[in-house]
Amino acid sequence: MKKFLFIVFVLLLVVSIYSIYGFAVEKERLTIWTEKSFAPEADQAFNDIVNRYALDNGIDVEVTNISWGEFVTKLVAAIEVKATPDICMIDNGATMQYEFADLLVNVSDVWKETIKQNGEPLPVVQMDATVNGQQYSIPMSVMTHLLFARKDLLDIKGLEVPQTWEDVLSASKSIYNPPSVYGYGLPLGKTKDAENFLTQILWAFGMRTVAEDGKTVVFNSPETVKGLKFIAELAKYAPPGIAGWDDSGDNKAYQSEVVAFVTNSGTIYKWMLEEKPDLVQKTRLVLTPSGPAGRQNIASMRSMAIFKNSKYVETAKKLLSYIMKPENYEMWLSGYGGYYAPAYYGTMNKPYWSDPIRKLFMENAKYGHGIGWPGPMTVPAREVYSNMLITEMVQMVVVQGKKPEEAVSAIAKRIEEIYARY
Amino acid sequence: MNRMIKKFTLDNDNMLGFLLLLPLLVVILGLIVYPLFSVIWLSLNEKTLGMPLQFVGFRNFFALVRNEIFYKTVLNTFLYTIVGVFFKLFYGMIIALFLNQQFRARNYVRGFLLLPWAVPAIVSSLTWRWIYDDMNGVLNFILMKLHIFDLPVCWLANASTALPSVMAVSIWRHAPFFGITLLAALQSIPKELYEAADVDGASKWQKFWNVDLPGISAVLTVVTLIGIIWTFNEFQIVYVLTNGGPAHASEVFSTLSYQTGIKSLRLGEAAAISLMFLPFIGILITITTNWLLRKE
Repeated sequence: MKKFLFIVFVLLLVVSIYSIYGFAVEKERLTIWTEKSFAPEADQAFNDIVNRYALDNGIDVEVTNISWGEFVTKLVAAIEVKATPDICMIDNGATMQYEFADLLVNVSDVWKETIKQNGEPLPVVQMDATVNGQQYSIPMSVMTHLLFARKDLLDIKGLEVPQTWEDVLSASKSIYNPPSVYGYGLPLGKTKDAENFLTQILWAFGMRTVAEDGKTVVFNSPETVKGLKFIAELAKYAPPGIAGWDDSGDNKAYQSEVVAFVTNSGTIYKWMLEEKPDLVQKTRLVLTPSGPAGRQNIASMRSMAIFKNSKYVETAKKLLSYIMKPENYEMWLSGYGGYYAPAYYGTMNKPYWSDPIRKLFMENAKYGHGIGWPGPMTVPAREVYSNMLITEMVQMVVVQGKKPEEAVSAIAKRIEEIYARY
Repeated sequence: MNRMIKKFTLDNDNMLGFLLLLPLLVVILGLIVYPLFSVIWLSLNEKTLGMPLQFVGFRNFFALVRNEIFYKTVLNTFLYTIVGVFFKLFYGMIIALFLNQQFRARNYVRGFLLLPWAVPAIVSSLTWRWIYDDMNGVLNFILMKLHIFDLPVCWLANASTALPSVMAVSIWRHAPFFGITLLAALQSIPKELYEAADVDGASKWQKFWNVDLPGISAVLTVVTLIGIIWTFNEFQIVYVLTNGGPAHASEVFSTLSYQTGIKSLRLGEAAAISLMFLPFIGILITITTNWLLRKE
């Protein structure tokens, strides 16, 4: 019996060791993580492009589409255990943050080739991809948020489609008729949408987190207080549950015709075309409204980066170049229905983008800023953004009933603490 | 060589026993001891994403003590745990006493009552999110149809209702587990004790107090302890329903730790949050274990 147990033990040991090392046969195999987007056609197009390359070049490529909600969680874990994918989709500000930790491969050579083929990039994407004059990611798309306005409801009240935030507020007051219809669907849950939309309203009222040097915190200002008071007023005419909305809250509110206005990317438009064409007829899309400090919006960008842990950096670069070939890049972007604007002027000039709605998304992208604006994108700017401090500040006023001045002061202190650490 | 191996293994009971236990020891060391000490070490360091560790001693803990949100989180977590475990026990006991009776289709009812616990937390939480929804939720629909409210209630978006709403889901989900466990304990009480109580003319309440409760006290204690640990560390339900909001109204340790570590990328501070009340849980476990061992 003892002999039998001993033999079983040794066998188990051998099998365990073999399973760890025995199958680790060196084979060129790339892993790619991308966002599982709102458009399955775009995800499919991307997979097709990559699979075609893999087939032609005799390599294995594994593409994993991950919903954005889980993406950061998975990537953080992967970075910490040094098990990052070879190529990974990243969002705005991430290039700076990951390069700060020396995680990314310099892809300036791919960048030059991409520009040669697709034209000059938008300034905001160039800023996002560049660290100390070198490029560490290849921009793919820019998503900005248009104002979706219910023309039918405005017509009933004899109002024009709003062009400014003040117009949105006054129209919201007129249309407000709870519980059937509310004004502007202002997301206020601790989500990325809320952080983006609230930031761009505050920017339009003159709020700036830092000065142009990207270091001096100037958040606590009369402009920030004014903008915050305006948002608090706007929230009075929004559905009562906005503080509990997730990223789809504003989409659902507009799709179920409960709100008269939302700002959103192409997701709602694509949904309306497919599921509720009559709502398209009732809707007018206009550029992000302007405020006393102009028309400002936050550019949500998607880029592709190669992690330094990759064993196949050169192959990854070649694949990235292949994805960015104009025919592939356009095929991929068109999968989104054209509601993600291209990152390059050359692509913008192609016939596909001459459609009025697509043109509008592209036009809006030109007003897009990166996080940390008017300064450069920096690691503390990214941390402020990731902490969703703007949303927290608005919640303090709208949910907790704090005075706007107090809320601004409290958040300014937290922003200063973050900047002081770098 | 073969003789030496034989001498050190087959002829030596202790050595063979140790060898056979070795895989388990490796698993315990690898999956419990190592991660625990890693978290403790991480909490004593400043660690941001992808950067090397920088030893800072107890600075992360001191930073938490100075943080206003942390105090709110402590209060919420204790409220969530104490109220939650109390009601889980209360409803669990009702379920157990009910299922301990003889009635038709008792087994089906038992299975049915276990459903909330058997369904994955993420699925039931998303369902509850829809139930609570202010615009399309079935709860508001019913309450408004019954004219209890004129306007929808924002269960998850209101600072005063968010935490109780999340607690209700946690109680709904875990009470069946308490119920089934207590039922198993109730069924192990010898029938003779009830017969003796009947002979003495004991009322139902007296039987519950003098027979049921002492008979299930050990299980009740263990189940309470497990309940406290689970509820204290609950993440999925809170994360899906409110993500700790609005304005930290339902923030608990697990969501604050996630927010600090994964969203804000301050991994050292996140580790400190999760460890802050480890001594409290440790003391609780020690007291309960000692009490149980003394009883045995």
